[in-house]
Amino acid sequence: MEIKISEITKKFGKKQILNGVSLTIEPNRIYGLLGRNGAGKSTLLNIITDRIFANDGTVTIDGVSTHEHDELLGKIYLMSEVNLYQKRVRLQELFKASKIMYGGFDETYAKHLCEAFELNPKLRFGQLSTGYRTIFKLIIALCLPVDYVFLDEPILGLDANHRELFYKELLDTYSSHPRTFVISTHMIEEIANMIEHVFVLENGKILVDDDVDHMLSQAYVITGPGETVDQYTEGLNIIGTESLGNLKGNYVFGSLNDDREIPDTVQISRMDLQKLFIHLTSGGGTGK
Amino acid sequence: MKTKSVFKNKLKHSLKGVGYTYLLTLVVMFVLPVVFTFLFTGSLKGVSLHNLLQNNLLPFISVLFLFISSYRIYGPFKFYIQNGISRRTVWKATIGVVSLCSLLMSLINYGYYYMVVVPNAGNVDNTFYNQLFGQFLGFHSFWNVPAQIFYEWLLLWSFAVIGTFFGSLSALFKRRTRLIIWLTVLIGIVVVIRFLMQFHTAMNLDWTEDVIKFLVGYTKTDGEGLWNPFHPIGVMMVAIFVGTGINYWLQQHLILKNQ
Repeated sequence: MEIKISEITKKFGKKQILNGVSLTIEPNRIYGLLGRNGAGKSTLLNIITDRIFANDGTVTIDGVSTHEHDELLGKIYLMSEVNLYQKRVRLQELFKASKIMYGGFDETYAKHLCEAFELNPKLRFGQLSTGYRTIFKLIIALCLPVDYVFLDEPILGLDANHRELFYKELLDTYSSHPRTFVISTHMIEEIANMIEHVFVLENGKILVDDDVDHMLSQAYVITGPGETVDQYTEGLNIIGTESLGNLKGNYVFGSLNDDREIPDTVQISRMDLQKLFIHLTSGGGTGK
Repeated sequence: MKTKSVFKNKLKHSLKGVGYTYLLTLVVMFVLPVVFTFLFTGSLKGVSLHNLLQNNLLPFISVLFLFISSYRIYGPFKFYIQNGISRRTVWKATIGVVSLCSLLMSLINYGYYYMVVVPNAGNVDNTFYNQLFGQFLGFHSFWNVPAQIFYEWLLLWSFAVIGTFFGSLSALFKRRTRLIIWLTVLIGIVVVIRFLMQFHTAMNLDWTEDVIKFLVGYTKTDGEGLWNPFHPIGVMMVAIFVGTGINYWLQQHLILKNQ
């Protein structure tokens, strides 16, 4: 059972937000949805969950459109930055209502998470700080019996301790009860070790749709004297450059053409996901 | 399946609202007059249960409750959308709940009026319906009972649809835009009324009078209560149908805002 997004296009007024986005989200995997501010990540997540409607294109689960389809929408939960819970209602009542709407809710686990995050379920939603509103929504996201959990900025307002706790709980619940998580965040370093596959959105289009390991296996930093580095990387897909005096570092994404001899003064090292993302989305090269 | 869950959840909250509204109304009808009498006269001499039981605010309060609770559609709407419910399902469940609550309130109001108010008011039956339409089906006709309940049901339901319409329309805009629109509409209404008051003599408005007479079931007669109730009943049914359709369209265009 996979979610297939085909040729999604969305405009707000004259502004094109998404332009022919196509991707597939498979069961039981952890995805990262990355993109700069305004790239269209939240819009895409809202379209997938039928909260807003695309101008063109389709979202299907096993070939059936999710549009106005309660059963399919009931398999998806989107935790978004937007607060859609009523402020005057108590958290424990919201847990109960979510249980009714989704046909299930792991109350034992919710209790454990409330204790771990020190969240009092007797409080009203409106009484919570930004961080605790995020925590509340994360608890719901982790306790619902859905197949797909979309987390849009899941660490908004969370301190370092709560972020660590959230990552731990996410991995624990994923290993005990595998399902798909799609995490959209700017804190790439923090989720880099967790995600298996990454989508990078840039200017409303998918720039990268690849497994993280495969992607990083093609991402290199070539450092050394400027001239030698430039000679060695000539013809390669250079996505970024940094210089310090005579030393230069070229960021390369793609095959290195390993048959060539590596000059003694040149060093080749791996790039991390955050650096790769920064260089891919700063207009320095191509992701494909 | 989901429609049933949403319906039950919405109904639970609406019934709670109906209960609190009636409770509050009874407090207003019975307690406030006693308190005010005591405050202003220093005694409770002028107060009697017999007089208090002649008060009837229930139909007015029902209209108010249904209008306001339907106007506040956006809160529940966004909650259901957050919980994986489609807009169409929320709309369908809302129709069910609103129609049921209107019917329930119509029945309660009818029962309260004929079991409490009328016996204490010397059996004088002067409901709005009876004054306008009470003789049309025959004064003692059994059919006046369902017709009156049905008439009030549709009337309440119509106000709920109007409330939903304005609530949905409001939710389309941001707070500031909403305020500007409402102010513009109010000023526009005042200007139109002022215009009509000044120039109506020079205009031929006979057709509007005819249309209004038709809509309310006016019949040219000297007797009281002989207007045709089926005209307004038909008009309200059409209005509910069309209004509910417009509300569906509006709700399809609602944007989920962080407010």
